[in-house]
Amino acid sequence: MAGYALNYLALVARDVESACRFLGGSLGLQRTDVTFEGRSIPFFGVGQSALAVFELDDPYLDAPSFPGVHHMALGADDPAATAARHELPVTDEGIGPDGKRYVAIDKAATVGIRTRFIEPLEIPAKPGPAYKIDHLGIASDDNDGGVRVFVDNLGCPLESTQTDIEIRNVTESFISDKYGAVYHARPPEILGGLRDVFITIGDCELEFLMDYDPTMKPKDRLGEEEGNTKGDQSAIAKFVERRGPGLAHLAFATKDINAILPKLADDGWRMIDLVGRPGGRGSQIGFVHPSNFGGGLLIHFVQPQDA
Amino acid sequence: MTKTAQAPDLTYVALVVDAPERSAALFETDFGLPRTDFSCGATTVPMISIGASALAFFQPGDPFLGPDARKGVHHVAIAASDPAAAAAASGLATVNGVSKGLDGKAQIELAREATGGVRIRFSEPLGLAAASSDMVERIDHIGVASADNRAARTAFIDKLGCVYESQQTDSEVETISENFTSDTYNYIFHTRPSQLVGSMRVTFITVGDCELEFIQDLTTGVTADDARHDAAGNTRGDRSAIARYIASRGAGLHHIAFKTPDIVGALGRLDAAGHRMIDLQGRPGSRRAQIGFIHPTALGGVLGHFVERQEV
Repeated sequence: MAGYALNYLALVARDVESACRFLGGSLGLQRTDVTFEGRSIPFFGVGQSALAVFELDDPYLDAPSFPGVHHMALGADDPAATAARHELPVTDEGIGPDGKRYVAIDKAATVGIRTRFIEPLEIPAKPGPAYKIDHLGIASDDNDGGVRVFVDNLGCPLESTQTDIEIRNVTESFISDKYGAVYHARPPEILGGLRDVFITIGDCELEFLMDYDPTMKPKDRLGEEEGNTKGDQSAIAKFVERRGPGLAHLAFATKDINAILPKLADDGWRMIDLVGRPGGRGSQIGFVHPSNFGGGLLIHFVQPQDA
Repeated sequence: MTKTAQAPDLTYVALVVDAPERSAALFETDFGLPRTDFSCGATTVPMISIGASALAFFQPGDPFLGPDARKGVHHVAIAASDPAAAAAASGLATVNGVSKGLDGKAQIELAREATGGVRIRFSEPLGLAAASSDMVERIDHIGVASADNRAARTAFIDKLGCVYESQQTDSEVETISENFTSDTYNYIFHTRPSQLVGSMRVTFITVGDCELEFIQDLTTGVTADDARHDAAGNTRGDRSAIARYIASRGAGLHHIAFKTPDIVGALGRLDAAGHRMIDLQGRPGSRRAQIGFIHPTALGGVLGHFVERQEV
């Protein structure tokens, strides 16, 4: 396989127990508790990789640590040699969960994505409604930079690119009982847009989401609504403005979006969507509300075009 | 027996402006319309003949106008040889009884709440000759911010004997589409349900040689405050302007429109004369017209626009 595969994704939750109930309980992901420096870290196998849930102040995580997606760990048998081979600067190295050697890469060298190489952990997974990670969403201000790092340097496949545009069309009608009907339409107005680049890391993709209009600064996008392309653009802009570019959300692949969303609502999780809506790559998507698990962790589901 | 529709004549339209002399000079010089001065108590009121009617210019707070006379279109005077009798025949409530109007002519004021907020007076005719210029033929209409067009029809048609001209409904519908264009996956295009973002019912009722244009906002779910950032120049913006006007001043006379044979020429001439304009080109208006706005500061605080349209 070309490039590198995601071995685990580190999530940070204010309420770890709640996040574990979501992943292990509602999604039925297989849990493995991994001992690490005298504590136990819950890992959940999903597809060919895993999710690890950390407390906000876990010393394994480099500061600043926010609730959300902290870092991704790509599997490499010799992490230090791998970083050196790709000329990626290392900011930290040591022994991680399950005694695996790891190196942390300077995120300035990976367009803001906190990336580690680690000797692969073997976390078992079982079939379930979330059958794999579909993608990791990245609030990006430099998609070309992402391609240079992950495709040109690390050799990961460029899966696809996409442009999302939201347009407003306005029609006015004047309908008179004496003067007849006059209709006129104004020129379409672009409300917002995103450029997406998908890069494969194992059985999932990195999804770089960047403002379609390079002349707009993130702060110009603040304060717009959510739930559509314009809202997504605004959310990306807010993320980049507040934290800088980097890992922003986690998306699971599912075979039946309209089954999983209401099921999660029935389980008591606060949801944004209860039915799928059009998403990238011909998919249907639906969001879990980020107020769950103590707040800050954004998760959505994807029913891929071919699922 | 069929009743012959005969709209009552208009004597004058009273405009309250920053400086009556300056506004009268604009109409005399730039519009090319004749001026006649009338006495009104101790003051002189400049009057500009326009079509079969006239514009009378007053200062804010002029006691002739009653309390709280603010800049804008103040009242409309309908011609009646016997104002008291005409008022009585309408069955509409009056205020203050008969008094002396311009040049000492008899006048009587109708209660504003009886006429949809429009200040109406009956006044003896002033005997001015009709007038027009190559720039302006006549008043096209007098715009009314209306809260209830049905009530306006009852008052002006059934009670005052004005003639129904036409009615139209203006709507602005917004449709938002999203499209996702991938280099690999199918093109996805989806459109959200269309939304009505502005709607107005506009009723034209003939008085004299022009119409009263009653504009009623039909939009629901948008408060005047929410609408304060709407831009002018479209149905959404116009309905918002009407809603805001009613919220701040109540229903009533809102603007005045002048009928011109050449909208671009009229707008361009005022602009060239140094008057502040909103539009330099016509845009679609009611009754298949092209309309173009003059900035209120150019008219001393009155909102006015030109109208170019074909008679139907």
